[in-house]
Amino acid sequence: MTRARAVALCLASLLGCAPQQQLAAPTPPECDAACQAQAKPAECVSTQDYFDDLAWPVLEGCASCHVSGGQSAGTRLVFKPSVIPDYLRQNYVIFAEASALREGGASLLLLKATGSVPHGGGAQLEAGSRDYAVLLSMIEQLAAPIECPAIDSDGDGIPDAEEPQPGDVPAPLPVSTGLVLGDNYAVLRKATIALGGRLPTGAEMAAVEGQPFTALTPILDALMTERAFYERVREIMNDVLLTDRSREETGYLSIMSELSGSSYGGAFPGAAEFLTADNTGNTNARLVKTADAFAREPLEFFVYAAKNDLPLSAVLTSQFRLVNAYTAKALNVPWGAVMPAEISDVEATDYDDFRPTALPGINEAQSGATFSEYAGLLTTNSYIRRYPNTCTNHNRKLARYTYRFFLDFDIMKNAPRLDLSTVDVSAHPSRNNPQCTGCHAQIDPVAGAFMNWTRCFSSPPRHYTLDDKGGSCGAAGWYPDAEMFPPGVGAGAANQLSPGDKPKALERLAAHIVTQPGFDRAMVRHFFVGLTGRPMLEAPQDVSTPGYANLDAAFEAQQDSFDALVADFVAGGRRLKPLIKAIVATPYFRAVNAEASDRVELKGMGGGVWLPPEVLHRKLTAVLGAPWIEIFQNSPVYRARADGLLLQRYRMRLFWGGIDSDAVLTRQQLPGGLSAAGSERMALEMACEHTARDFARAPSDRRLFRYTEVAQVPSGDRADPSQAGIVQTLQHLHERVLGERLGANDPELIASYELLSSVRAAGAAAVGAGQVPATLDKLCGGHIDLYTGAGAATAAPNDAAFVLRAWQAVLSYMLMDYRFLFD
Amino acid sequence: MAQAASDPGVMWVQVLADGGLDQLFACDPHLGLRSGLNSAGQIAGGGEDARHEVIRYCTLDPQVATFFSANAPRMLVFNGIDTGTNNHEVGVRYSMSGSSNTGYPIFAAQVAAAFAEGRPMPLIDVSGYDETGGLLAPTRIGWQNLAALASLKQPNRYDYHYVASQNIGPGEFLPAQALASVRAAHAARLGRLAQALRLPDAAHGLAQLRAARGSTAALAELEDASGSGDADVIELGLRAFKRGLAVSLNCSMGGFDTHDGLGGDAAQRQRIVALVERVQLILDRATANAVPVVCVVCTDFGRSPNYDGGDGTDHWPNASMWVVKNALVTEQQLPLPMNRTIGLSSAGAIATALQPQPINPVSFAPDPSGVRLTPGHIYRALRRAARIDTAAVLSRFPLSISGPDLPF
Repeated sequence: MTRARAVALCLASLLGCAPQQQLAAPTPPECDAACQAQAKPAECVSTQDYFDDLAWPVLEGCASCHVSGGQSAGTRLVFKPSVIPDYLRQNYVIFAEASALREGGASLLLLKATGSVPHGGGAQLEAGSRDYAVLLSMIEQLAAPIECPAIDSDGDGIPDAEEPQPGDVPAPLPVSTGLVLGDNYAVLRKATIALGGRLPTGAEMAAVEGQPFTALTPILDALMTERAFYERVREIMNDVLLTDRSREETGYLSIMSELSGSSYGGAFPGAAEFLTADNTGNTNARLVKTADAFAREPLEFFVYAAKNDLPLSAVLTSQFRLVNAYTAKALNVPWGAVMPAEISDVEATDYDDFRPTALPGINEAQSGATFSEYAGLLTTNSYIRRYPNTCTNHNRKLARYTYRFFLDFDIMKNAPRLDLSTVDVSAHPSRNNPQCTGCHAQIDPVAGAFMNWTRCFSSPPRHYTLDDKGGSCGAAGWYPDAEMFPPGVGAGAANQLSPGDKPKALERLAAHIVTQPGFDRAMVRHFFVGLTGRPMLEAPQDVSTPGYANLDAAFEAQQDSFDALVADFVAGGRRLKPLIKAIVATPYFRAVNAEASDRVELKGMGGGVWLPPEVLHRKLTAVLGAPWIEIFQNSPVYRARADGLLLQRYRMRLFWGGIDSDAVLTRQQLPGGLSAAGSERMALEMACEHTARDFARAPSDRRLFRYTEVAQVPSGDRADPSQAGIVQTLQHLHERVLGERLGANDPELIASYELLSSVRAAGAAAVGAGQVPATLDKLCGGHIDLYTGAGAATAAPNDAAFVLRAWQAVLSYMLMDYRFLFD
Repeated sequence: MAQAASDPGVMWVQVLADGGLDQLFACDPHLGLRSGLNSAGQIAGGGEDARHEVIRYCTLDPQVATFFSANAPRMLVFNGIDTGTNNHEVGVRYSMSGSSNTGYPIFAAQVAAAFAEGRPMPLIDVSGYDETGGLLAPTRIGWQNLAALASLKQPNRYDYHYVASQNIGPGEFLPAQALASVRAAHAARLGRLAQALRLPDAAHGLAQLRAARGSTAALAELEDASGSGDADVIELGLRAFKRGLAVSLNCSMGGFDTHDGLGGDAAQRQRIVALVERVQLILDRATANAVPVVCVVCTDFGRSPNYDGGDGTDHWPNASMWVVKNALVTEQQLPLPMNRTIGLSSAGAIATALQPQPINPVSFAPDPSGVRLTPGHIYRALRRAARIDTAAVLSRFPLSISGPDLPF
């Protein structure tokens, strides 16, 4: 069957490859001798040629859906379209990988193709047909591929199969060609900012200078023990799980009111008192911090695994909850070995110190039974609240996201188009209609695995036994099998949970998930995306897209790198820190440039990502010694929660492209007009607040203007010996702010010097002419406490020579630069 | 007069009824499928035989009836749109972009990208799904942070503070002359970097920064705003369009996913009333601001013919969409047929109702051998109407359809 015919059949009624529309060509029901002869040629045919000439014509029908951008692009079988120059070779590899998938010992491909297991496209082949025999033979050959002697008909030394053909499209260059990787300093700086929220130390820089790349390893190891690293882990995983929604301005009230109210049958009698009584006189700050800790618990499982060098499987399989002193006190449970009554002053504890605990009031049965259920973050309130059950979704939302987060499988990319004319809405179509069961056979069992955490109507997350439910989910505690695929850890009878397993269904699910290859891929994906700052590339979906072949090459290269990372992750015990080091070592993190432009196949390499507000917040602190704050806001809540404009939802965070985990779920990787204006304001304001402040320190204590003094006036002649300290300071600023190590005659250094001297000269003239004041603006004087306003009565420094403001201008210029604002 | 290439002519507003609008209570009423919708008198605009031509609407709620009757002359309704999915995520993506492919920009972003040059906030995003496909950054504004915009209009100025018994400010961080030098040096620096950075993502990021920086001076034109609801952001967006700062606006309204237990028909009808009131507000405020505006109202998918319990309804891949303009939009600015419905869904009992029906692509009459409308058909037509169908920025985002295009 031709591809065109398959496509025509598929699209004829806009229904896609619905099961009623058999795509298979008319074939005999049984493969007789003649048919077998076609499937198995007598002469030598290499397996690749067999694929090209016999198997691919059969598979073309599959490829009308199983192709990048096709209806089945989210499955494990995604072919390349013929627009790719070597699509047959690539599809051979793709088929070979997919043919290794088995179910019950049989080829999953053939089971799907014959409709023997749920298949979104229904049955496409008849067992015993010629096409079936071809695919079966193909799969058998892959175990020991056949090679035939090369034929060179024209004797030119090039085998016929490799002769250039008219219309051949030059393949994109390999991605490693012409790619410029950053030197050790560049990678070190990027890593310390991204992972540690700080600049590299002098010792660290010295340790990697001129050394092999592996010299970074011990530095990265140390970096990944710092507090900021764990905060970055939380941020990266919240971008995935979005459980911080409960922390946002109003969400924390509801999560806490559940605890302190009657939702848990009064299981936490001390919660209300703890949350309202505060010996600092500030009840709101304690409430906020407790709610934050409760909401962040799913993320803390990743931190806990990292801190203790555990396999990341622990985030699902840990048999405990995680609490810090605040939540331990509110929930009245031990904080590690410390009993709640012994926690006298939560403010004195380390807020980030989360410890394992049992949480009987939530994870253990309320009705006197002995059941309990602990499955890492799956059995936390925050996770279950984020993807809530409703009367009709029957936990499917939780199941869908559990697949996506932990099995690297987005079931919605696998959903076939629906043909309404065949749907009997009265016959539980999700259980019975083949259009629906392809997905629901997978999603519903996992939804059922969350059965103990719902009463099938609005109810707070906790473990409910059958008695607790009181029949609200049906007599058996879950929906009848006739209406919904029964609870399990995946599709199929083999994955179904036994009655004895159901009280610990999520524990069984977690144990199953972490054995699946999808789990490893999911973990690697989350941190790859987090560290590179952008989603992984997807295969281009439309062959008419300009540069399709190059985009596909970029996708394939990234997939290769990703596969290697997954293999290393598994080999390294599934631990986070080795994974992060491996990601840092890839060109996706290290690349800084290309030798030529227009290399579309290098997409995804290197930077070009607008820094997330959280990372920029820390970077500012690292470079200038202080974050960008809303001045003169001295309240404890402000300090406790969001000590910076970039972190506040309704100040700069959303303008800057950040998320709120609620309505805004994806980060912007590019600046718009508002974020560009915001970055200019940040640069001007921060330079104002920190130029004179830095100059006021002893030179050895300065972060910025270390090698010059206010009395040193930029003359305009940078070669003059009197300007040496100024030039050296500019070099220092370029390195500190922008990561650029410049020689004294570098054009960029010259440009900065010229800006400095020209602004100074013009400014001094303006002062002399009375057009601008001789003193600094008061806010820029560097003597006012920016939180309290203390010192405001003191006059601002004199700057009649305009040197301070000229340096302020240079610092502004650097803080608004691409290299400061982008990764 | 032909519009200049850089002038969108009209402001496009994309409104998402998030969750799945029940077409029966709006522009595709059928009798017998909803309790309360059983009388012919509860449908206005035309008889059953004309349902593929005229705008027919449900009159159960007077606000809805008033909206359709008042706006019909400036309105085009699409019914019987085959979304092919019951999934919210796919449905929203498809019905807002015209493609079910991931990463495709919503229509408001497509228009904004085509006319973005020199505008600091080409796509104002009040709320909801705002995929831009990397074409541009959406300007996300909630009413809660309207006040914070003031600090961005004039980045060099800070406000008055009274702190520690002292007056500080208002003031400027840098004297204007020095600021001008910084900006000029910065622009030159970005130009040099553009020559040096050759990785595609870095080059694209830098180009976006340069474009964004080049547009920020226009923000000074933005009027001060404060807010108590999305209407205030819409007002700001309309004024921003009038001053050449914005091209399009995107907003969504949730609460349409009215299953059993989530409010059912009563909640659905309330949300439809709120939706038409929101669209009317946009039209009215645009008129008051002398802004020609076109609203594109879309939804994930429709709702099932049957109840899924109580009076709640399930997802159903048969949707409706409205294009409605205010009176300031001329025929030349929006070359679309008005005061009519294109496309239809099947009538009848639950087992057969609400299925997208094929139509003749020229006459729009029911035609078994015709085409079924998809979001792709509609957005291809809207691209032509917005004069962005040949825009170079959209070359990466072709919209594929089966069968012929709509003839406008």
